[in-house]
Amino acid sequence: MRKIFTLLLIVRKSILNHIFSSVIAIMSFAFAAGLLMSVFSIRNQAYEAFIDSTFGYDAVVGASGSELLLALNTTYYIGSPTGDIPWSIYTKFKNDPDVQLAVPYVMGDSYKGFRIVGTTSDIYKKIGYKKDKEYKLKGKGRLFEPESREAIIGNYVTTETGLKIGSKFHPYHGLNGNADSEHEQEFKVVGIMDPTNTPADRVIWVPIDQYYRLGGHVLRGSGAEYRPGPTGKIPERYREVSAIMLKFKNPEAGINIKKKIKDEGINATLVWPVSKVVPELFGKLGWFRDILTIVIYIIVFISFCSVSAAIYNTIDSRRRELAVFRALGAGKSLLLKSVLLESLVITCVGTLIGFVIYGFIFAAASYAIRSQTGVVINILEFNSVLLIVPIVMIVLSIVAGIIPALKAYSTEVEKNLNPPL
Amino acid sequence: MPLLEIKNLKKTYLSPDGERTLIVDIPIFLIERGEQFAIFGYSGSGKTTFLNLISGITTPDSGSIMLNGEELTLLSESDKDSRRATNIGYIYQTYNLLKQYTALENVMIATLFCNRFDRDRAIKLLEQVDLGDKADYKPDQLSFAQQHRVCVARALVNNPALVLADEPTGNLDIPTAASAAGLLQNLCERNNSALILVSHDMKILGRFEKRYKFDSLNNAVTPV
Repeated sequence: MRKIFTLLLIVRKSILNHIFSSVIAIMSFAFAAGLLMSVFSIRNQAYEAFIDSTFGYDAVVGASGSELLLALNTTYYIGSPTGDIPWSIYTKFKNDPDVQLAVPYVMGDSYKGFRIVGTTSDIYKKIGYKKDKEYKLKGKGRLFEPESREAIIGNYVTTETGLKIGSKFHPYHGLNGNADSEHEQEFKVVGIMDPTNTPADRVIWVPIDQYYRLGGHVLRGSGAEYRPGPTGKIPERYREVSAIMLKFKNPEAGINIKKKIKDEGINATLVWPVSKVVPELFGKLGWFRDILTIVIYIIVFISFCSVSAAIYNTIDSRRRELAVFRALGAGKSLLLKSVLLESLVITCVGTLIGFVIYGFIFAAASYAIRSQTGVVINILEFNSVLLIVPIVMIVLSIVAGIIPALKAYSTEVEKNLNPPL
Repeated sequence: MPLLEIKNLKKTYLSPDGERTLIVDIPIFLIERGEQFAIFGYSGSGKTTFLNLISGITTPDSGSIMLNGEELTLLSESDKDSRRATNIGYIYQTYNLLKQYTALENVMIATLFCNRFDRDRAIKLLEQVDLGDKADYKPDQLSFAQQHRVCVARALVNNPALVLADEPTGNLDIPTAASAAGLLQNLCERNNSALILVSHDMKILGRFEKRYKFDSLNNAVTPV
């Protein structure tokens, strides 16, 4: 105990005596630890959240083009729709023997940055946001009536826009619209979804026919232009959709559907299984992830060097002090331990502050990811990196302290007790 | 048995031009428990080296140093450190107080290296040297005379058998130096610690019954 007390006294005095360089070293380690933990945690959680394969549907059909863009547009509501396909294709898949359920989607408008999706109530009644997870409405909310200008909003939408049950709003034309591009038509919020922690939290759902009837919308499902009136049936030949969400009757149905699209020359793209596409995106961005990792490791190395240099430089200025310790009876090993302990204390304090920095970075990233994609990452979710980083930092602290400690160990007593001026 | 017995002690140093120069060559030297005496001699005659050899800070080339019946030259470095902490108190000409430590911490740290933690003893000694109310002062907040008294307290805190003082009053004016030397002698006597004091000051030397010119002890011919 006395030895530990002695060591702590010596270490405390040394750190306080070189407070500026000690603080620099501590903050250097803190940022390195905080960055390391936050980058790996956010990367791992975001990756898992994005590749979560349990969607409520099995496949998506959309206009011919990129499968990735179609998947991102319909599952994460990112990017512009890839185009529209005629209602006849929806009808074909709806009646296909391999398809249990087909739900149409139309997109292109927004409200205060949140996407408006025209669809049917099947999206709530028959397709959940994940397998075996149904959408639920809060409190006294209800589903919209197909012939009414009503809307159901995601949980995040209500938080950010202030819309509540009974609120009225005018949709904006286009995905990046603003109040200058408001539609004349007004919609009323009749339901708010319970949080799903998925991109669905960022969506405003309206009846598909009411979407068609928004001012300025022109349907070209048949090739000719058709502007729907405020009421009345909209002929199917004019309708078009941005995407069709499919639920299959059996797991192999996707193969059959893919073959049909090819054999029958259907001008559409099938994304199946939906879960395979996003990992491909992450694969393409792997180089960015690797560069980020290298940069983080460089930062850690620099902080390690700064700690070692900070302590090493103090040894020079402390030669006389160390010689006095030795003259008073302190053993060489005590001096060595005091320097290693000083390095360890600096690192431990730095790592603790690193957790605070990690918290700030994670919170900021979590907000950005959720607001942009609806995907939720949880700061309280345990990640092994939160254990590994502190352990690695402690090991690095001992390594950083070895050279200065050896210098302290080899202090010449007689020479340094009365050093030359 | 004498407290300290030195026989055929020799120490050389390598000079910048590569020659080995004999600094200390002492055939015999004895000191009894509680005995006090002073050493004087010209600068560079090896007095400080002699004190460093006794304390174990410097290792002799040959010879024997028996302290409390134990041969110091045969001890390992860590054992020498331990004996120095327990048996020897040292007052340096330049004091060598730790600047970032208070007066109390400067005295207390000597006990810590002795595997003790004796705050009470440290406070008591500071009070004995009239610095009880300045225990929390750092060295640069104290006068030279006060710093000297902290050194005395530090040297005596572990009840050493032997106190070595190398020109301890060199930085003090004449009246203060006499007072400081008197304090040191009294406290050593009270603790039954032997005292070897090196000084050039004739008034200080006059306070000691036993005084030795270092040349008479040391056979080494040291260049001036």
